[in-house]
Amino acid sequence: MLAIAASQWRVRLRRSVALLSMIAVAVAGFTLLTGAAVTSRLDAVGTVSANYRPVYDLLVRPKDAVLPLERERNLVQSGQLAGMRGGITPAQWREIQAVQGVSVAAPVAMIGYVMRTVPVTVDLSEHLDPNAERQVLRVQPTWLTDAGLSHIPDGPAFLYVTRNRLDVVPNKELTSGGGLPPPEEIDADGRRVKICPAAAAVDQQDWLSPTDPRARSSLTCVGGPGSTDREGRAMRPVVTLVWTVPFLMAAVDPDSEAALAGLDDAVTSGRYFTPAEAPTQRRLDGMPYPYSVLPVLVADQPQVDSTLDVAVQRLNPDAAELVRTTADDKRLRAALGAEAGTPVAQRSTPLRKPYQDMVDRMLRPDELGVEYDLATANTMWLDQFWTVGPPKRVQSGDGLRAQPDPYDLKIWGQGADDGGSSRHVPMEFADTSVRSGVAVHRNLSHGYEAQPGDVQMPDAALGAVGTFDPARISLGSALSAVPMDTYFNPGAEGADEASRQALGGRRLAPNSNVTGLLSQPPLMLTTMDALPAVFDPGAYSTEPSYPEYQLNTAAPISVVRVRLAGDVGVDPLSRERVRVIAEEIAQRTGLQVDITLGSSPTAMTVHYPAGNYGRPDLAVAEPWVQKGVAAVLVRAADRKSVLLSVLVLAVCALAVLNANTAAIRARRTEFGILTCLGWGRRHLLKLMFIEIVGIGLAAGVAGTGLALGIALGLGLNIAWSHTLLAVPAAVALALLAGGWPAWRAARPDPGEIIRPAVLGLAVHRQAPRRLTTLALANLARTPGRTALGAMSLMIGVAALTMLLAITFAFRGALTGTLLGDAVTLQARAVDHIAVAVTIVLGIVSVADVLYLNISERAAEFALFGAVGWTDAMLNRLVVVEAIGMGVIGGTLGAAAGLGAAAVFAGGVTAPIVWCSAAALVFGVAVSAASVVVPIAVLRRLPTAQLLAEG
Amino acid sequence: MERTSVGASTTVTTPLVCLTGVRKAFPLPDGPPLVAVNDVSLSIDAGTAIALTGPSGSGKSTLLHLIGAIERSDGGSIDVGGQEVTGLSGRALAAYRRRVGFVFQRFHLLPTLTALDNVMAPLIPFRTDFDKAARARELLAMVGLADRAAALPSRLSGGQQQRVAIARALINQPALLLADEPTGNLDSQTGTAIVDLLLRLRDEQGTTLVMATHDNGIAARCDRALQMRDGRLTSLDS
Ligand SMILES: Nc1ncnc2c1ncn2[C@@H]1O[C@H](COP(=O)(O)OP(=O)(O)OP(=O)(O)O)[C@@H](O)[C@H]1O
Ligand SMILES: [Mg+2]
Repeated sequence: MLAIAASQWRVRLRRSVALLSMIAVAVAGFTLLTGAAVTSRLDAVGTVSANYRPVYDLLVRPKDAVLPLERERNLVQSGQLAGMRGGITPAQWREIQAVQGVSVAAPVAMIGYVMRTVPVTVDLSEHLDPNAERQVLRVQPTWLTDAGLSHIPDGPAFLYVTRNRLDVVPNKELTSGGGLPPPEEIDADGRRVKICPAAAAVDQQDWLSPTDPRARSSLTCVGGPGSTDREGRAMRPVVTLVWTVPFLMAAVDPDSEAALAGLDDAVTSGRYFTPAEAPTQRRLDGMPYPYSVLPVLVADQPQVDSTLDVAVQRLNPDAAELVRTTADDKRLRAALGAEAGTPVAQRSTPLRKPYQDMVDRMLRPDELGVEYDLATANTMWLDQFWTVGPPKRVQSGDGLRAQPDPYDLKIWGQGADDGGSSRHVPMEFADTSVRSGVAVHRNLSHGYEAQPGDVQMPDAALGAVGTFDPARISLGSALSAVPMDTYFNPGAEGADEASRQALGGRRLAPNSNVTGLLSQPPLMLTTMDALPAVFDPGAYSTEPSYPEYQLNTAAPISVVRVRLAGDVGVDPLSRERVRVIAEEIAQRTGLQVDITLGSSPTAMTVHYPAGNYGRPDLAVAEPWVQKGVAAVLVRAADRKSVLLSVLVLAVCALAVLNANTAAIRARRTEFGILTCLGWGRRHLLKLMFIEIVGIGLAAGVAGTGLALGIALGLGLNIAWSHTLLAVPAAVALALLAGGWPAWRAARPDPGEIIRPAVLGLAVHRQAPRRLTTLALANLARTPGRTALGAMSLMIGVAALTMLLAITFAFRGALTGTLLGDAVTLQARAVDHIAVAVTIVLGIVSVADVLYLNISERAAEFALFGAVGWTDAMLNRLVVVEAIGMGVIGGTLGAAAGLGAAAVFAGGVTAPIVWCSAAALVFGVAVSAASVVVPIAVLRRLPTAQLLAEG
Repeated sequence: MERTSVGASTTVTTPLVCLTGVRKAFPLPDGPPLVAVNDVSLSIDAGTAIALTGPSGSGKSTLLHLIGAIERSDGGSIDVGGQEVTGLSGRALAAYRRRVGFVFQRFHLLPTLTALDNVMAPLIPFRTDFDKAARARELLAMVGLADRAAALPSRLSGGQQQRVAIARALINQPALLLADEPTGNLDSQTGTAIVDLLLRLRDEQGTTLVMATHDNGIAARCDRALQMRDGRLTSLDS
């Protein structure tokens, strides 16, 4: 029996090799794909697990802080803190802390914006004309922001320089209430000319917007040798510009914040808060009431996108005359503004250094004194602060559209044309506003009355205890980053091509316009225990006095970030535990609880209307958070792995089944003869069993080699044990797939051998007269053979369609979040291999079956040759037959694949349909090509031998 | 492995083959079915040689296929050695086929096997108490092909293939040998030799012979000649 099997292999060498290579390719494909699928799943789960835990596991917010869009799409917005006005009571916070399983509950209470100014000194000595007796320079400052898109001109600073001495009344000789006497220039002839008139008192009728450049201009007068300023220092040719930085201030709990974000480790100078640090009480000499000093940590970087550009011009000589002749300050500055000049310098000033100077000064309160320079707001007094509401956004398409939402600029303070208090307002405030809920909160001194004639002093001040570096805050893995608005605003990238181009690849970052879209993170942090100093009823008054703008005295906390105790894995049990805790917090407090565990950043497109200073309409991608990504990812990876394995198994089994059927079909006559000779079914089965096992073994070894070679060549990581499985798998596959055709073949009708293998179908009553008709008639008359050929292509096309559907579905489930993108990228290699293997499998399968078909018909073709057909005619016949088979099989395959895709892989998309169509066309081409080669081989064999073999 | 009963009994007096009202029709794609064997009744004594003659298409091959259980009859009964053939299936059918030798009109050799293996083919799945190869070689020698034992069928001439087919039909030492035009492809000299061989089997081993032939000379050398026309037996005399 073995001998007869061996002789079968030997004599039908080509057939055996064809079948063997088919199984070998199937086995190699199976090994590679299942191995790769398993590895890929492990990788995906590994990546997910490694990035599973963000800085906090749960985010608790007031219910009304949640946008409908967040609920709809399972998202959590970012950059929200600055626009929040509390909503969580300290009791609710303690309730959250008490929930079993909660390890850290870190609250954030927003206070608001405190304006701080810092002088930026511009030295003009280099630009003076050494020959001029008197001259005027104009310094034009421009603020650059929005990634350089907005150029916001500020009020000019004028410098009047004379060689004559200036006589200035020193500060110490000034009498209170008398106003500032202007300096006097002492001309060579001893004449005294009053120059640089002081600003007139603020006139309510004359109110100018605080961002009106006219109100923001200044005039500095510098005299020759011997001149001293009001402090008694020698005069220098410098102008001082003012940079105003809004400091967003928030309160945190020192212990919780240290545990959650490591804020204590981020302290760069000074000290960290003590646990439950409260304000200290102080009293100024002669003041009738004490004041609270709130402990604050100050960020050591401004975190606002701002650069100062300075253009220096020398004005025409008559400008100097204007200074000497115009007594009215306002008129003088207006006249100087209109003067022509010649540019002499242009420079860009980084603002890092001024910011650091400012922070340094805050840290030296003794040197500075709380009373220092109250008039220019360079003070630690918390005399007033501002709050803003959330941006006005409407849902638009897939994202949001921010809308201009103007408000009254008066909120920022009493405007003035004296270049004084208006400078407390950053120039950026002149740009478009998308937040209208702006309110100012002014200190009421708790109703204490100042002595008549005395300045009403606030009863709250800030006391810097140290600085912190926001970059040192633990943000967790970037792939699972959650909003850490308390420290950090990553900005937003362009969301479409035009916006990316406009931004020049840079991110749009928060700037000093606190009513803009993006808000800066708090630059000042205080403690929860300091809150009463601000939130006590009676501490501050609010303007406008709408109820919704009032300080939320009862519930000052805006968010609570919760970290759970112990390890929390990506497994269903852990997920359930987290869900239960979240549920409990929600039930106990009635607040919104979002599970940020297992989430990942996703881009939310927000349209930002054009600004007033050059920023065009932009679509930016805010880094929001997609919840539940990890679970979806793991589920998708599991599902993909299972689907891939099942698909591969089915495809390989079907391909081998098909090949076996073809191989066994080709031997029908032989089995018929053996049956006539008295062989029983068992004997035939046994013969086929031996043959199949033999081929399976050989194919297993070959397939393993192939798989290993490919895996090594491509640097794939596949378990060795997996490749060793290939041999038994091949035998099992061969038996499984060979079993059915063998079972069928083992009960041949011996009549097969005496009857022609053609089905006389009535449809073809008319004899075919043309080659194409003959080819189609052949297809119709040998339905078994046609079915086999079509089947092999059907498998290939269906498999490819399914595979693409699985891959696209997997990607579709994942993309849009950073973690998903990372996992998809990781799986890309496997996807490509899967497609390649399926294509190779499809080609080999089609080629194999068609080859067997042709060798089965060797005699027929030999006969055509013998009666004078040319090779070209023969080729045409088989190519037309192959195309016919291909179209039938390919179409069925595409339909089956799309159907299966719709059922199992979650839908059919246009790219899948296109790929399926491409697979069909490609498959038909492969079928046509794969018949030409065997025909050519056959034609080289002697006709007589072929005729005899038939 | 089962053992097959080989060897023929030489002392049979009853008819070995007995057909009654046998009928076989083939359905045609258009029109009524074609009746290839029509109501044939016939009995053949053991140890006799019967010639089956008749024009082409008269049903000779079909009748032989029915007796050899290669095809199933549509009606009537076929009794061979006391066994009803028409109802056989499975193992019994296979066993019956081994007891009958059949030489096909178109030889039907196994293309992947050598002449020797082809002769041995019916015995390959079975264990025998004799040397299968030795017997096959003997039979090849008997048909004059000892030197071509290793050749594949495609390398043999039509007549040589015919002789291999005859040798294969004899490997089981059948009591009944059905031969469909065993000399149809042979020159008259070789044909005569083959007929001599077959008749010698009848004489020496009591093998019952039924052969279809167009050759009246051969028919004359048989014990009885039956003629068929349109599926019916037209003469029953010898
Ligand atoms: N499988 C079949 N299907 C349809 N018709 C068949 C089949 N086999 C045989 N026939 C028809 O049955 C009739 C008898 O055929 P058979 O082969 O028995 O004739 P024959 O007498 O052996 O002829 P020849 O001397 O040419 O060999 C013929 O008309 C033939 O066409
Ligand atoms: Mg015949």
